Amino acid sequence: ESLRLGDFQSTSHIVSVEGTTRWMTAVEEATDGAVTFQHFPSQQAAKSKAQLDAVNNGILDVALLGVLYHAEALPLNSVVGLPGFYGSASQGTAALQTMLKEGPLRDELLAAGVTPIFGFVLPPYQVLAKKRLGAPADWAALDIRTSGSTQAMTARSMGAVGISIPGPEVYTAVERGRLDAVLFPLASVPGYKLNEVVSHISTNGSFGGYSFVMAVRTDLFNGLPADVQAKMIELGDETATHVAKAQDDSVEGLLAEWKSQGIETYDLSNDELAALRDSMKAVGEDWQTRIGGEGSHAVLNRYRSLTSN
Amino acid sequence: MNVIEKILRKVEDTLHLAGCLGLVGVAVLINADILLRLIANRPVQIQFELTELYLMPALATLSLSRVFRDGGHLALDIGPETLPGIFGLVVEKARLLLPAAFFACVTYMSAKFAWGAFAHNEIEYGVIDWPLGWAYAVAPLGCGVLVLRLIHDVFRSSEPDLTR
Amino acid sequence: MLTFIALLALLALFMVFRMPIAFAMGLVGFFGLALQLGWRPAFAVLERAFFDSSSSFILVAIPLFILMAELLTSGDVTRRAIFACQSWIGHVKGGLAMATVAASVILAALVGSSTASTAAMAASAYPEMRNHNYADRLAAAVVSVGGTLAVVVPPSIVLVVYGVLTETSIGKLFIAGIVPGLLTATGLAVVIKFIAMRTDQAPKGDPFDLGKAARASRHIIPMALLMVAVIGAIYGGIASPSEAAALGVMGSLLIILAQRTISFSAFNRSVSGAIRATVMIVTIVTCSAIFANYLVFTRITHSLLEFTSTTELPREAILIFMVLILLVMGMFMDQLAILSLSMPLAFPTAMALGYDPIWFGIVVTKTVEIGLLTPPLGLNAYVASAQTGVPLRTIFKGVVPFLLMEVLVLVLLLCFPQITLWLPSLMLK
Ligand code: NA
Ligand code: NA
Repeated sequence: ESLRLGDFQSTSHIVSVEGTTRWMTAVEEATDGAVTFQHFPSQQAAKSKAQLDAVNNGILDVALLGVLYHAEALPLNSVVGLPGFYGSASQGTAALQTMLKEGPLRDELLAAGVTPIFGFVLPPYQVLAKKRLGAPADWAALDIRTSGSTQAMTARSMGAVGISIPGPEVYTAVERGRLDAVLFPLASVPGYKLNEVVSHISTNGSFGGYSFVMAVRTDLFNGLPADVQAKMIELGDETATHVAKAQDDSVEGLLAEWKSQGIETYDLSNDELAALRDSMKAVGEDWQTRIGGEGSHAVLNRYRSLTSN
Repeated sequence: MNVIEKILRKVEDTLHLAGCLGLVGVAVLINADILLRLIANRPVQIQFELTELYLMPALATLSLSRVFRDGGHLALDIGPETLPGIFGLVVEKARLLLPAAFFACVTYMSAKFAWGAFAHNEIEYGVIDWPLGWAYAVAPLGCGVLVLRLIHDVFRSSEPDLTR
Repeated sequence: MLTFIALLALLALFMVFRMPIAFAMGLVGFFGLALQLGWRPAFAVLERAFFDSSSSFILVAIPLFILMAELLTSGDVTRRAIFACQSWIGHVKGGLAMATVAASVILAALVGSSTASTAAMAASAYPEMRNHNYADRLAAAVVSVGGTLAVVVPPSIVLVVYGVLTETSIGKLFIAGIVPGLLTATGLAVVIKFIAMRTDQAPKGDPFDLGKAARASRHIIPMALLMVAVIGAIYGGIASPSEAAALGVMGSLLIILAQRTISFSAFNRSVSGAIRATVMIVTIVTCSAIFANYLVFTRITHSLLEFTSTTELPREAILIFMVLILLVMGMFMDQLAILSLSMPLAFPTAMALGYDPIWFGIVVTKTVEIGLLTPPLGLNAYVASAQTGVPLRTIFKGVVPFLLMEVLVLVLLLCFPQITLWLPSLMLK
């Protein structure tokens, strides 16, 4: 069976190379061609916000969902976007995978008509700026590029202003001083050449997360032979671990490279981290109020315990 | 001019006016944003989301029909303008009916989509909570009136036009 | 593949029978999707098609730059700038025509749309040249050719649409357009000088009068200030290109209010005209997205990319082939229609070949700009003809020497990417 797989990342992105593409190839090989994929990267098949709908409508069969794009249909899953939780892609991915196996996050996806195969996260967002930003006091009144409401709240919780600027315009905005700082996943920094315009990059902050879930339309998935289903999931688990580690390694490499270019890559001190976490607690509380219900409380607690070791 | 034409024009002009006000609104908002940012270091925070979610879709789709009425939708003029006989008549009708069918589909689907957003109280979290239904509703409105215009023109062109 | 060709033929048929291009692309794309994926998915594609293509902040540059142009033209600002240029170099042989080119550059730096620019030049520069016994064919041709500069010199609607369709930085595209625009203007001046020396189509104008020239020049000051404000806001980091367009609107409004050259009804007409152009453009963008979606699911893009990555042909050959196709399309189609039809295929191909997206954008823009001047559909020649009353045939004849220069400039841009990329690399490093 040939499945149409939608993806909003480009094929050169590490998430595609070490994650999506790798998984597709592994599944095609393991199932001896019983399942093959037609890959539609870079939002070719559907815009990033429309990927979930596209799977439900039969435009696609499988999609790598950027979960935060679907906060409306998947509110509980957006917990991963909160700042101050996981410290590496591997840690975050392990937590997410556990929560996708059973519990409210999985149920929410099933209710949306799709079955999660595996999920993984980007390394935590760091702050890039032209000066060192540590404790919340350093952030006061700065213009920070954020994407999405959770990050805007994160900026606000530290007394800064969250500003939405389209990705391609961020470079110029930073260079020309329109923005004082950017919250960004480090793996995406080279794609936008942001390392050319900033002088300071934090290494151990946790200014928000981002999760991907590979999701198959449920009625289609249930129609697949049991061994194929099992293979897809098993290889998915492997891929999740692999792509998380690959990203963490790549971040190490990037940081070393930037350091050699004269950029100050800095660790936040324990005091700074504690102060930041304290400020950003408001973001989690706001999230819980917005989502409401017992569910959000339980999800937040479980997520906290899974990411705190 | 018959009554239907009159009503249709009224609707088109009203939507067009709304679109024009949307554009003026965008210009004012962005300027206010820039000025306040420069002077008071306080951006108009709602500007970006208001523009992107509501004003742009509104000013880009509400006037669809009015622009068609004015002949503003780009078409090639390498072929003959009118063709003689029954074939010419078929071409003339099909040129209106096929797009009418297409835009009827667009209207139906996008209206259903907007309706769903209203029914589920869908919200885009941002500086404030934006109700998405209103953002989605302008497209079916603009497309729907265009369908009426296209269908109306199919029937009008078969009668002799006494106003010319 | 057979279905694909049949649908392309259907698309051509619709367009020949004068169905609006956007409607034809939407219809065929929708029908193609239904054949490819089934009716349910095809219908689903429609549900957010218009919202997705219009709900974009970057797109606000389009109505705002058009509004700015409309305001400047209806407020008599552009006509005054043309006179100022003419008062400085009108006295030499061919000087009025060169002044028209110079004024076109200034206008181009304020106006994003070439029809607006051509119309303004035709209304003001053409009569002046005629009064000084310029040949119809030269005067009308210069007006049409000068108008095309608006497309390359920033701000430019074509560049914005290219940026939106291909997700390329509009700020960088704008900077990249500056040198090619000035190069084109220089080329046009050379052609005029040549014609003025060889023929009697371009006699001398009024003798030079320093006082008169200086007095006329004060009309350039507000435009120059506006230009500095808009471009300065972009490169000074105060505003993104989209936001700068809003500054431009406000600036134009202030100028014409100060000059007392605007009425409420003229303001309304300007806003209405900007909306009209925007609706047309967004409809094209939306419907071409539906068509592009169909292309994606046919896997034609995919096969083409595989072909380009495995073919033995040098990448230059593929590029030249693409440029030639664009030139031929330019003979029959409007620039935006060409962009929306071709970019879904041409852009990924060019990227797969390793070309720079900014440079490719300028090359494409330059190519479709040439299309504005070629028969049978040469939009600028149409506008000039409508405004001046000079027959189309005469204008097209007069345009020929300029066209040769335009092609020469295009070849230069193709051979020396640094002409395009030097300035952006300087300003953005
Ligand atoms: Na321009
Ligand atoms: Na042409």
